[in-house]
Amino acid sequence: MTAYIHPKNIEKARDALWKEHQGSSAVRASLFNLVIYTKNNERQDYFQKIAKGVIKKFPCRIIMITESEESKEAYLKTFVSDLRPDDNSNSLFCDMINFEVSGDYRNRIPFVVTPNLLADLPVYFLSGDDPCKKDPVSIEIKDLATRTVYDSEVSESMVDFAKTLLELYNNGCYDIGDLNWARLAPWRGLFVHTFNDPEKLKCLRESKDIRITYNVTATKQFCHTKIGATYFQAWIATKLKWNYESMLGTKEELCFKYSSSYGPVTITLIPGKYDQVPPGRLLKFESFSSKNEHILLEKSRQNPQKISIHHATPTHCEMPAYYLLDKEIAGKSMIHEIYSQGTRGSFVDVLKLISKYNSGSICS
Amino acid sequence: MSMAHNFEPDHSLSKEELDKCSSKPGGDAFENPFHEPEYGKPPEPCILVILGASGDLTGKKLVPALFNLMREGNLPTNFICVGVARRPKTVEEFRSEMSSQITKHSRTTPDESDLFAFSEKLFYYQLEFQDDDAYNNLNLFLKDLDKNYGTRGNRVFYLSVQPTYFLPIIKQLKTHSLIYDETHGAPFSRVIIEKPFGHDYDSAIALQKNLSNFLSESQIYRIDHYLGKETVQNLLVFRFSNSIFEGLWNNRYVDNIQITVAENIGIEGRGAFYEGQGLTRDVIQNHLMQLLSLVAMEPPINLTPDAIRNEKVKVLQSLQTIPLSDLDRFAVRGQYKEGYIDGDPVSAYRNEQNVDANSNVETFAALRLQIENWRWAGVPIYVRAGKRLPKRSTEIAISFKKPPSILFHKNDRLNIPNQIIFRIQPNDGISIKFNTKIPGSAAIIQPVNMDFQYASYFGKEVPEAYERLIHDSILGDSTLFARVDESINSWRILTPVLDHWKNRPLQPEEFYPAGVFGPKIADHLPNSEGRKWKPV
Repeated sequence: MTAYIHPKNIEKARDALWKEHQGSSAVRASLFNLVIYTKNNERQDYFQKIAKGVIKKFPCRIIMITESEESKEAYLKTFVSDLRPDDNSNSLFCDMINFEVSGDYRNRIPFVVTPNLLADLPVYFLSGDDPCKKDPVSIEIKDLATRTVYDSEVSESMVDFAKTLLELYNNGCYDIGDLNWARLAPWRGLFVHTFNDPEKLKCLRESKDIRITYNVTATKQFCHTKIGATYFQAWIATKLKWNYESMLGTKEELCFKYSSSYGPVTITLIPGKYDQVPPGRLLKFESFSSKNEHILLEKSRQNPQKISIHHATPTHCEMPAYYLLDKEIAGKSMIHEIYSQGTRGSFVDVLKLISKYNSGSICS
Repeated sequence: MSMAHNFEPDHSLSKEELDKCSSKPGGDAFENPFHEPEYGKPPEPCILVILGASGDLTGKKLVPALFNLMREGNLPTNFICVGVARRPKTVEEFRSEMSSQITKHSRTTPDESDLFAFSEKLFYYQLEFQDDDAYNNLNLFLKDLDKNYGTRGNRVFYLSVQPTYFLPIIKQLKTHSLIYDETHGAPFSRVIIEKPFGHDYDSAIALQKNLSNFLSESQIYRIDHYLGKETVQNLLVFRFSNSIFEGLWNNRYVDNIQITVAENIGIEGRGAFYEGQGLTRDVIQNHLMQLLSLVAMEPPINLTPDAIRNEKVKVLQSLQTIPLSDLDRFAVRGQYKEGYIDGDPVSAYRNEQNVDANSNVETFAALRLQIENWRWAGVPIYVRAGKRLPKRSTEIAISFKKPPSILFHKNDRLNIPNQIIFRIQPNDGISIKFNTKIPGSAAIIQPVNMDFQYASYFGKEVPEAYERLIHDSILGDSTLFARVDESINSWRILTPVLDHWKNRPLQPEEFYPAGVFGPKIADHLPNSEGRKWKPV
């Protein structure tokens, strides 16, 4: 049973926990502060998994704020625990301070978070709140943070989400990121490697038709499955300096039209099903060029990490090459965001492009 | 200590030859629009050819390193590794052997599907190194792979062979157009060679002169796996990205520097090899001198390979050769006798397989060196390395001068100097020793350690040195490889010592029982100057 304490006793409770480990080889360590703000909903477990995933790799102080929107009673409950990586051989322990809050007590959150941040260490803020709502509490925590990572999954419109993040970026020198963007890092890495070859790059530049298949199977936690594919096609378009023309689509299939120096390009996002991978993940990338060249990057059905790469021209067909994507582990995208210093120019370019799309929501 | 120059070889590389040592910018002719700093520089498609693929190094280090590079997305997507050796073997046999070696030696646990994906990148080619025609056929074989796997004619040759084969193989590779001239934007061809680079000063110069007939300096990658270790790479970051230390990094504050490379293993069945080498050639000439140059170098003007290596070589050039008259005082060697390692008896060096029963070869060496430049003049540098020492430990200890003893250290014996210790292996990390007051009414001072361990902070998956070095060679980044002038300057210091030892049989006091830190006479090096070896 959780033992709730008064916020003024946090330090004492932490010391008591630490004393339990003294005499062992335990080390209490923190490289940074990680503040997580989540609503008491389906996403709560997901954020806790992220926290555990992060400390497996990097010890940090975690301050977890969980807000209940349904509770009629107003409260601020505090408890302290220590978190350790699952690996028993690791003797690292990290502090975890939990605040459960509801009603008007939510306004006290910045006041209990501030004194519990480890001074002189960076503060990373993972916000499970929709930035488009401009919640003042969330904004106050964000002001404490070195970097804020949002979760576009909670936004109702990806276009509005992009506009809001751009606004934050332009107005306040905020260092920002998005978990869904970070999740694309392995595929972006795949592109960096695959197209580090003039022939394949030329073929991609001359594309007239691109098809990106994503895993449409949704869960309670993830229902906006098109976000990753939308980001990815926007990233390709910005990198290759294609001009946006229009978009149209149905609930699941979206089609983006661009113009390049080689002519019009159509990128279609196609829903696919693959139970072994989480919702929204990219499954296949296919490009057809005006010169009948074909590039195919496809996730293996036997091994979700394995991507086979095929390149064929009308006269030549290479043997497939293989690339292994990083294994998906909870917290990995967050770690990626933590160690991405500054707001990436490419992310801002992608947000700018997405903000031009029809306001018809991509998320819903 | 007087340091007269009494070893001035009359032959060296000409200015033109030394100019060739500067690396030319390599390969990239086109811009990859997808490249972003977070992914590092992406490698170009290529074939890595391991010559001597039936040796231990291939299965224990090289192929597991390639496997982990692939797993972590650090190999080009269009990549092939061809093992070349004399033994007849099918590609399936080679793939199966390498898969089991990966399972045994990889730092990560491989799963079946990853192993399968990787093994599809492996090929085998049987070749007698002297067989002229075989190189033609190898060339055709590689061209065929280029065509089928999109590797674009780019080659990295890893010479995992005895040093005597370096030149004949490189000559054949060049003659049969497997090595190309360096042209910007054209396919690249690079050669990685293992230590030792030469046997002494003269032979290193001769080897370089011969190699430069076939390869430019920017194509040669002299691998020293110590340089691929995280703590070694971190030396530069520690020194030049932390302003609190740089002001202290000089002869005003540093009392002495000690570098220890201790191994508890013996020669591991390499008797024939060791008889021709000895500890100094095997460890000090390369690993230890590299560590010394990194710890003592001036800040480079930028992080390009040449800028860093220019500064390293200046340190080696500033190292004073030990005068002949001082060799017995400042250079100590030893050879292990029977003894105990971890409580188990081990045999004497002279009783090892393929070792002469009267061998004069050293398995331990300690030197007192000095760098004569503005930063380090007067700071003694004690280095030691040995086999069959009590434990495996490589570290660099920077000891600072003691504070005046008028306040807290009236008893000078308790006046412990501050130290910064870089642990290269095991438990890679950095610790700083400083004095603190023991709680209580009396002012009793106790030294304590502030300790940073890579594994604790960044997890246990620190890449193996070979991973980083192979990756860099594919990228064309030679920063972590020794340049010829580094190697030659290292030989300049050590050749007189080796010549001196060669002509003298080992004396009884130069033997040490396996399981201790070398012969007792090695203690004389720091003791005679009022210092001690730092315990490791």
